[in-house]
Amino acid sequence: MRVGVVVFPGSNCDRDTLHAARLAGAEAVPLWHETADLRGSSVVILPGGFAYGDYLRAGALARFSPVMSAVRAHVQRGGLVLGICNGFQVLAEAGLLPGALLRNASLRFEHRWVRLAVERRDTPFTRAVPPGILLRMPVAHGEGCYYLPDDELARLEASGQVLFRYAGPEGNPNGSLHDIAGIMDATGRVCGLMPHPERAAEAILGSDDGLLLLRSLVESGAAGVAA
Amino acid sequence: MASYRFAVSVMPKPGILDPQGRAVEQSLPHLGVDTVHGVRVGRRVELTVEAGSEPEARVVVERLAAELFANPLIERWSVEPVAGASSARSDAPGGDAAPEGVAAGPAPGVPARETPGGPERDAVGRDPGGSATDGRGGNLARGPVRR
Repeated sequence: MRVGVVVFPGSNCDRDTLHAARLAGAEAVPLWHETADLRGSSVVILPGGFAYGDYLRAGALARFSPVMSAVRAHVQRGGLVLGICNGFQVLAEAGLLPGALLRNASLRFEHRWVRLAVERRDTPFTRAVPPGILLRMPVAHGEGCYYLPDDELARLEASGQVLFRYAGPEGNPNGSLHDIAGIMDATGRVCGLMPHPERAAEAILGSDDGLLLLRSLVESGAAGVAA
Repeated sequence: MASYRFAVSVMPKPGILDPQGRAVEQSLPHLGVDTVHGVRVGRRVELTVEAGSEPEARVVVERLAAELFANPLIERWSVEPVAGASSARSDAPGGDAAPEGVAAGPAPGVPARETPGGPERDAVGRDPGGSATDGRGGNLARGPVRR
């Protein structure tokens, strides 16, 4: 089971994500943004960082990279895609996920540990998460305030596309509507979240809860390959 | 062909939280100013387009505004010519292209012409040229701004 991790100019979590995907049992390969070849990846991860310097708006320029047309085709074939932090911003700008990530309500770059409630465990991104726990992992972003107009937000909630919410005493770090930390698209094959599972993939980092998400992806990707 | 210079102003939509604007506004009392409110912070993009006419150039600018400079979900924009900054190309020998090539921008002091549909067109739902999703994820990779 191969996981491809996209490397944009300005990505800075790509190596951590490759490492965490390997810990989760995957063969993990980098995917350079100038190529449209996904190298046979069953799962594609868009990592954190500052793709294209976050110029104009976070994610706005990265969506025109050649690799993104391949990611789009991968989604159309039913492939799995996860966007972490800046990767979530890129997916939103590309229209592969609904909504937008606005400047944090605090106007500050928020980097700290948060806890996530997992709203659904019947998804390719959360199937390995045991019931009844909050996932502890860090956020580090300046534009993570999830926004969607009221009527569309109601539809997102009703269709069960909200996957992660900020919870527990640490609260909501960025002012996201409905405490949303991560969502899925309508097909349930594309997911984006602001917190960093790859930075919480080993106990020595303070938490290995993030590994549960990567394990979910690896299991799902392997199942998809078998099917 | 002539050069046409435009300015695209991008602003957060009404109702969208603008923490920058709020932070600026909250700092104003420190300047001794307590008569100002409704501060919103946006961005302005200026660019020059080579085209046969100003309407042709404006089509290009409108497309870039909708697909790149603004995120129609959260921002709206307006396009206006930059007065006095457009010009004919000087590379035509014999030069009879100059008079017709000079862009008919408004004279300094004259208000900029408004974008069709209003000075700050709202692309979501109100743009006659497309649906709310047409401005997102459009295939600019085929266009001239590919990086």
